[in-house]
Amino acid sequence: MHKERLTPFQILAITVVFLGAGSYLMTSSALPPHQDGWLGSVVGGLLAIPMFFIYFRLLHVYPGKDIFQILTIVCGRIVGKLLIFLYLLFAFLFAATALGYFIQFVNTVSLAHTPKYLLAALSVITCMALCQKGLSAFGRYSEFVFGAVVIFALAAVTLSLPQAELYHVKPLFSGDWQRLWQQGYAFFSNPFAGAFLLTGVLDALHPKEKLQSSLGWGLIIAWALLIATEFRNYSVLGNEVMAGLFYPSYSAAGLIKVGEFFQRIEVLSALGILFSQITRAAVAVFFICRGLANLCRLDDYHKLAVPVGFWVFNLSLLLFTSSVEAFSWFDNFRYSLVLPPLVILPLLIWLIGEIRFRRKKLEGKS
Amino acid sequence: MSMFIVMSLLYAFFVWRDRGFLRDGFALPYLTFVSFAFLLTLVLAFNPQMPSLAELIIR
Repeated sequence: MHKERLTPFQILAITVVFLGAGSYLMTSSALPPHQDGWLGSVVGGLLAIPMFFIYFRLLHVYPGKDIFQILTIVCGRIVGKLLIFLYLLFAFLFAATALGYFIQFVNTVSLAHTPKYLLAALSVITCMALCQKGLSAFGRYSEFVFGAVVIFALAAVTLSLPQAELYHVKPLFSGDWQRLWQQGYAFFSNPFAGAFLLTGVLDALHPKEKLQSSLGWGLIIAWALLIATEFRNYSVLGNEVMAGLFYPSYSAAGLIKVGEFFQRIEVLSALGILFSQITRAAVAVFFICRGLANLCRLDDYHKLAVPVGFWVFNLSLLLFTSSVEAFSWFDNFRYSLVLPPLVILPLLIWLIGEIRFRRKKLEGKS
Repeated sequence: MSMFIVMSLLYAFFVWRDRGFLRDGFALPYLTFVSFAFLLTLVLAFNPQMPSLAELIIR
């Protein structure tokens, strides 16, 4: 079967749009309010750098192989298949959570009387269509939404500058390190840690192209957007107001008023959330379909898009009934659902893979 | 009721559109997956007050 390919720019675009969700949908309101809260986005990005290095090395050491083949090669057939199964369960939950957040967001801020199933169905149909059309179509879709996501985020930040009050964020470093770490971890766990699922599509880059520059620039652009948006949120709203908001980015953008002409700019934030959350869910659906195809030894993963899409639809409706539940879910599982599958296991898999790769290299030389 | 009608039509449309796959010897797993998903959708459609998974697990 012809292997689908993504260009380096498409990888960059997917990474930025996937991580860009953090600029629009933050969950910092669950943590105790503090003026240094925005510094957490800096710490979160720093924590993400080693994880991105691990994802890059894993795919670099085994060029041309997807993450599921790598898991089987590194951990053996039985353990590898078990790990793939566990990651598929995680990806199901991830896709449902991404869609659940989006549905609750739309339901809370604007379309209060629109049935949630319709919002879920429309989002899932988009994900299913992207998955059925394949990675090349997904790459082109990401190229298109990349511009929109970046321009909307930058426009919302720059147009908010007249409303910014620096006393909201001063003095810097007035809190303790533990608080900064907690805030940083919150930003790491959402949106950066979910980037492991990107490994389900990254192998589509041609082995001769440089993955590290696309992935690295993607991380840097998304990180810069996140820091700018968080600084804007804290300087415009202040930490006390932010503590009571579920969607601070949307609320901060709602304050933008440039003369009589530019108003209701928050719709840009809403569009950014739409693109980002659908991209996150689509990446997870790709991950699930390709993983299931590997487990069931199917040569064509596109066939699985519809059944997987409908399961994600059901789970996204089953998971939350309100924004309060969505955010309390995230607070309750910030460590248990993030650390084992997205930090500890990839680290172990990379270490084992790296040792085996070097041993093989030495054997080849001798 | 509207969810039942809309989702039934959606399921029917997608299964009809994928009928090519069903001839490839992929019919049994495909239909099993979709049927269970449809059953769950029916449960959701006729029990709108069902507690969410988040509520059940966190409680």
